[in-house]
Amino acid sequence: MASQPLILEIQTGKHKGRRIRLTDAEMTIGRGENSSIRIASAEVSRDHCKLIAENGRVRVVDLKSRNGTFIDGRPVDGEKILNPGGLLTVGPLTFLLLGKEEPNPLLQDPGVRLKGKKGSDDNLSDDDIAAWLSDTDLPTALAHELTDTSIIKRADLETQSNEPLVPEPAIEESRLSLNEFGLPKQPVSSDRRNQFKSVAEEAQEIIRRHYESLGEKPQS
Amino acid sequence: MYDSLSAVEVIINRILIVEGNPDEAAFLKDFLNQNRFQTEVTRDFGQARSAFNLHQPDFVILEAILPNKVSGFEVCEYMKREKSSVPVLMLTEIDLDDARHLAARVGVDAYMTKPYDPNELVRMIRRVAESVWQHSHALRDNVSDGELIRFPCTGCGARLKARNSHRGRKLNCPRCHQGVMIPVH
Repeated sequence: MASQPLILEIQTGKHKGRRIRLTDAEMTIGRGENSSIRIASAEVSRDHCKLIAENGRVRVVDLKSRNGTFIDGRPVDGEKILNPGGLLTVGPLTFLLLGKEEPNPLLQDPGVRLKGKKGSDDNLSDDDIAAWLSDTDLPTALAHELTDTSIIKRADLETQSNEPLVPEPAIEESRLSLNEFGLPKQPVSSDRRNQFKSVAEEAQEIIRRHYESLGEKPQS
Repeated sequence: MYDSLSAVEVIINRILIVEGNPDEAAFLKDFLNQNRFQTEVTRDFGQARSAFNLHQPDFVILEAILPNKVSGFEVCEYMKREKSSVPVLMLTEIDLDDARHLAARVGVDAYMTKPYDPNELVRMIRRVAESVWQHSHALRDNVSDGELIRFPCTGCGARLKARNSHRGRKLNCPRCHQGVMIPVH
C-alpha cells in the first residue's frame, strides 16, 4: 500500500494544476459509465486504461484502447509504470503524476492545499470533494482544451486518507445565485440590457468574451 | 401504450438537438437514444427553425455557440416566440454570468455547462419538462393535480375532460370512440 497519496495533476485548461487523488485500489479511465474517471471523448475508449497505485508509482494498464495510452509520449503496450514526474496521456488529456520528486508542489498551487490530520476541515466529506471536481472546476478546465470532450465526470477519491484535497474557494470568480435549473434567481439590471441594441449583439459580445477567457479566437 | 409511461416521458418523446459540433451532437444523440428519447440533430439556426416548425419537438437542447452567425440565444428567442410551451435547455461551453442572464431573458428554461454528466442531463430534462408543463398548464389555469382539464377530441371535436394527473395518457372519446391522448402541451 502506498504510504503517501498519489496525485495526478491536470495539465490542460485554465484550471491547470487541479489534482485528482488516486487510491490504492484500481481505478479506470474511460468513456464508459463504470469508469472511475469518465471522459466522453471520441478519442477515449469505453474502458481505456487502468491505473493501479503501488509503492509510490502508478502501474498503467492499457485496456486495448483504440487510440492508445501514452506515458511520456510513448505508447503503453500492455502495461507500464508511471513514475512521479511522468506524464500520462489518455486521448486528448494529459496528467502529471506528482510525487516525491516534485518540489513541494502542493504549496505552489493556489487552488489546492492539503490539510493535516488535525486540520479544521477534517469533516470535509467525500461528496464535497467530488462535487468540487465534478461540478465546475475540473470539467471546465478540461473542456477548454478539447473540442470533442463532453464529460469529465468525477474521480472516485481516496476516502481512507487523512489528507483530503481541499479547494481554495478564494480563486473562484463571484457566482450568481442560481435556481435549480442553472439560471439566475435575480433579473439583470436594466443598465446591462441597455448596453446592447439587440440579443444578437449581446450574444456576440458574450461569445467573444468566452473565447477571450480561453485565450482563443472566436470560431467563424 | 401510454399507461406504462410516466407523464413526463410522454411529454418528451422527441428532442431537438441544436449543436454545431458534430462529435458533441453524435454523443448526445446516442446517449439520449439509449434513454428512450427520439432525437433530431440540427447544426444551426436554419436547420433548427425548419425542424422546430415541421416536426414539433417536445424538448430542445441548444448550444449557445452555433455556426453561421446566429447564436443559440437568438434561436431560443425565436422558438419561444413561436411556441413557448416547448422547454429549451441550453447546454453550452459558455460559463459566464452574463450568458446565464441573457439565457433567462430569451426564455431558456435551464442552463447547463459542458462538460456535463449525461445522467444529470437526463434528470434535468425530466425536471425541466415537468416544470414547464406545470407552468404553462396547471399553474396558468390554476388547476391542481387532482382537478380537471378540458380539451377537444381530435376526432369529433367533442369537449372532453380528464384529471390533470392523467395528462399524457390515452382515453377513448365517448362520442366517436377514437383514441385521444390527454394533451400534455
